[in-house]
Amino acid sequence: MTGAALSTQRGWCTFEVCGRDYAVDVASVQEVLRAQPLTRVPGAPPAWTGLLNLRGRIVPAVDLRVLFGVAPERAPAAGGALVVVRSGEGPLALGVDAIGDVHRGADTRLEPWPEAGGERGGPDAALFAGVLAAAERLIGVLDLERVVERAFERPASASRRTPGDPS
Amino acid sequence: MEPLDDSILDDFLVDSHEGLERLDRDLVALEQASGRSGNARDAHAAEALSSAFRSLHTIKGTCSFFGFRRLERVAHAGESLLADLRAGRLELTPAIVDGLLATVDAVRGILTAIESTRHEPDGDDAALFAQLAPWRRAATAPAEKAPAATAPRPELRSGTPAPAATALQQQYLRVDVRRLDEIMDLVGELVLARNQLVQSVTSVAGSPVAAAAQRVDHVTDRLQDEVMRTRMQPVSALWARLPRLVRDVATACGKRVRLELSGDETELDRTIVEALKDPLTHLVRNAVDHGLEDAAGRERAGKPAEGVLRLRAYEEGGSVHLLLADDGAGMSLARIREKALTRGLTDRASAERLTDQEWLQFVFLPGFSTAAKVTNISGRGVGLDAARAAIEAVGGEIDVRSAAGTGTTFHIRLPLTLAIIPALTVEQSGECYVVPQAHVLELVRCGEGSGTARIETVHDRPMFRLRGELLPVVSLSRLIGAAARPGAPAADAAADARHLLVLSAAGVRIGLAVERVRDTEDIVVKPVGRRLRESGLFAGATVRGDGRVALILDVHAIAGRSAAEHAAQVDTAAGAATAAHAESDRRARAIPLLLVRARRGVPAAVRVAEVERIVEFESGAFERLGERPAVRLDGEVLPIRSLDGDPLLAGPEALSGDRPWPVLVHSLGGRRQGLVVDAVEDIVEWDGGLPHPAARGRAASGGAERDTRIVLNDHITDLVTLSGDARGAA
Repeated sequence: MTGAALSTQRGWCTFEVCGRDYAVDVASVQEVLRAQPLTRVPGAPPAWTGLLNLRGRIVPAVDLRVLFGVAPERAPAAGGALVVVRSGEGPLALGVDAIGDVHRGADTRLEPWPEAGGERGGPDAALFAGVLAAAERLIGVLDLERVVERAFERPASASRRTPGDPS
Repeated sequence: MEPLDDSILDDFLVDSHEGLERLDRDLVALEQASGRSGNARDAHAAEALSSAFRSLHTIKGTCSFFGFRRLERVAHAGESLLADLRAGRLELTPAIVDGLLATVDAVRGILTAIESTRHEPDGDDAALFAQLAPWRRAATAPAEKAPAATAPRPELRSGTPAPAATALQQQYLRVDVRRLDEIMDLVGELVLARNQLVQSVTSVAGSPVAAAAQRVDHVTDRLQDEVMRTRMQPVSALWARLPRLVRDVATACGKRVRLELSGDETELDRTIVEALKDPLTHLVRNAVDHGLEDAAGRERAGKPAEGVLRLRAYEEGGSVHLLLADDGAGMSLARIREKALTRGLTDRASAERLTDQEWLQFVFLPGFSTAAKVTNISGRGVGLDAARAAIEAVGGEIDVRSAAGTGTTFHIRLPLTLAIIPALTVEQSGECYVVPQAHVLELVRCGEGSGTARIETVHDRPMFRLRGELLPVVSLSRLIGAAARPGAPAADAAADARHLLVLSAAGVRIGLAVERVRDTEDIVVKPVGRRLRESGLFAGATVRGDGRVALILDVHAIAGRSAAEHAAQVDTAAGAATAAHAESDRRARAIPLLLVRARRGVPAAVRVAEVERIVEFESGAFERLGERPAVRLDGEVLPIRSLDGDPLLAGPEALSGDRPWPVLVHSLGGRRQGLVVDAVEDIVEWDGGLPHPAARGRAASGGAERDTRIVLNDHITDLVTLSGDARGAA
C-alpha cells in the first residue's frame, strides 16, 4: 500500500490546539517560534490574527484555535507557539497552543479521512489531508492549502461557527 | 521534443525579445529614412538595415540550435527580405515595412508561446508568407520585376561591421531579478538591525564598539544605496516600444509624426518602469490620435506637415521627470468648460473662479473626454484617469499644460525608487500606521485645545474648514474600526482625533483624522500578499525600528472611496447647488480674520487688514521701557502689549522661555505698536454676521480692545480691533 510505503519516508510535526492533537507534514514546516507580538490587520477575517516580522519578511499569522471555532475571535496569544509553514502563497504562521514532536518511521501511517465522517465530520473535515495512525493515538493531519483558503475567507461566510462555541 | 535546459532557453528568450524591440525601432527608422532624400537617407537606411538584419539573423541562428523549425522559417523569410534590401535588389516601400513588421510580430508571437509552454507552438504562417511573397519572388527573379534593383548602391552592399560591443558586454552580468529582490530584503533587515545597534551603543560613546557601530552604520547606508541602484533600469527600457507604437497609430490615423526621445540613460526603479508602461502607451496614443492635427490641419495652422512628439526624461531633486510634449492644437478649454458644466462637475458660480490651469485638471476625471470624435484608438475617456491612477499608485504625479495652437505637455514626476520611501507614522487605537509622505500636503491640529480648528459634520459627513475650503474628512479610527466590524455603528467619527493629515490622491484632497502623529522616517516597503491588498485599506506593510510590523495606508483607495461617497451624498442632498451659491455669496462678503491664541491660550481673532506684518522675536529681544516691554524693529521702538492686558507682561518672567514670540505689528493713532500672542493659528473667513448676543463688553486693555464676541466655526471667539478707526466697522 502506498500509505505504508510513504510512511517510512515522511515525518509529521505534531502540535496541540485546545487539548487536541494535530499534525502537518514536516517537510512543509519552515521553523517553529515562540508566540510573539503580532500586528493586527483591521478588516481581516477572524482567524487571521495579524502579521509577523520573520527576520524582515512579513508573514501572515493564522490562529488555529479561531479557525477551528474553539476559541473566540482573536484570542490573545498567551503562551503558545507559531509553526511557520510553507504554503502556496508563501510562508504562513500557524498559532497553536503547544508544539508536540516529530513522528517518523514505521510506527506512523497516514490513513484517508473516514468518508462517513466521525464526530467532527462536516465542514472541518475538508481541512484535513488524513489521519495519522500513531502507535498510541490518532492525529488529524492538516491540508495546508485548504487551511490557507479557509483562513482568508472573507467574513461573508464567517457566521459559520461551531454551535458548541464556548462564547 | 524534450523540455529544454531552462537557463539557456531563458537567455535565448530574453535576448530575442530585446532583439525584436531593436528590430521595431530599426524598421521604423528605416521607413523614416526612406522618406528623406540624398546622403542622409542612405547613411540612416544603411545603418538601420544592417542592425535589423543582424537582430533577425541572430534569432534565426539560435533557432536552429533549439530546433524551432517554424520560428526559423519565419525569421528566415524576414531575413532574406532584409538581405535583398541591403543588397539593393529591392527598393524599400511602406508595404515592405508593413510586411517586415508583420514578420516581427509573428516571431514575437511564437517566442511568447515558447516562453509559456517551453515548446514551439504549431501554427500556420501561410498568410504571412503570402504577404511577403511578391518581394521574395521579385528578389529571386530580378530581371522580370525589380525596376528599383537597377541601381545598386555600393555603400549599402558593404554593410556595417558589428559594433565592438564585446568588451562592453563583458562588464555586464545578467542577474535574476528575484535574486536582487532577495538582496534588497536582506539589506532592509540590515538597516533595521543597524538602527537598533546604533541606538544601543550611543550610551557607550568612545568605546571601540561605538566606533565599529559607526562604521557599520556608514557601510549599511552605502550598501543600501548601491543595491537600490542595482535595481534601476534606464528609461529606454520603457520607451523601446514607442517608435513602433507611434508609427502604427500615426499610420492608422493617416498622420505624419516624428518621435524625438532624449535622456534615455535616466534610471528608474524597475517596478516603476513596469508600472509606467501602460500609462505611457495611453498618453502617446492620445497625443498622436488627438493631440496632433493631420497634415492638412497643420498646414492651415502654418506648421510643418510632420507633427513632432517629444519625450524627455531627466533626474532632478530626487525625482525622475518625464515630459511628453506634442506640437499639436492644444486642448480646447472651451470644450472642457462646456463638458464640465453639462456634466455637472462644477457649477457656474465656481466656474467663474477657475483658472485655465484648473480647468485642464478636469481631463483627468473618469469618463471625461473632449475628443470631437471617438476613434478606435482613443477618445473614449478611459485613458487619462487610468493613467493618472497608475502613476499615483507608484507614488508619482501627473500634470498637464496646454496652449491653444502650440501643443500639450504632460509632466510626470516619479520617485527614484519604491523600495524605500519617506513616510509619516501615525498612531491610532494603540497601533501604528504609515502614510507615504508623497501624499501628505500638510498637518493640522484639530480637536480639543486647538481653538476653532475642529471637525464638523454636515449631513452626517465629517468636514474640516481649511482656510475657507471645505475638506471631506475620513477618520482613521472609523476606517479601521469599520473594517474590523463591518456594519458597526458609526460612533462619533473623529472623537479622539487630534491631528488632521491633509492628503492628496486620485485628484482629490481629503483630511485624515488621526489620534497621534509620531514621526517621519524612511521605511522599507515590504512585499505582502494579495490578501492584504484585498482589504482596500492597505497598500503594504513595513517593519518599524522596534521590529513590529506596521501597515501602510492605501491613500489612493481611501481618497477615491471618500470622493465617491461624497459625490453620492451630494447627489442625494437636495439643494446642494443652492447651498453652493449661498456659499459663494457668503465668500464674496467674507472678511479675512487672523486667528491667534492669546497669552494664556485664549483664542482670539483680528482682522487681517489691520495687521501690517507678523514678526517673531526671541524672548531676549524684549526690552523694558519703563514698566512695559518693547522691541526694536526697523530702527523704531515698538511698545508691546498683549490681549487682556496680561499682568505678567510687566513682571520679570514675562515673555521668557526659549521660544520665539509672534508679534502682530499694527498702527494705532499713527504710531506703530506690537501685540504679542502665544501663537498664530490660521486665517479664516468671517461672513461679517452673527455677533454673539451674550457679551458685547469692551474691556479696554492698552490699545488692543476686545471689540465684540463673534461665533466662528461654532466657537465663541473674541474679535479684537487693533486700530482705533476700525472700531465697530464690522
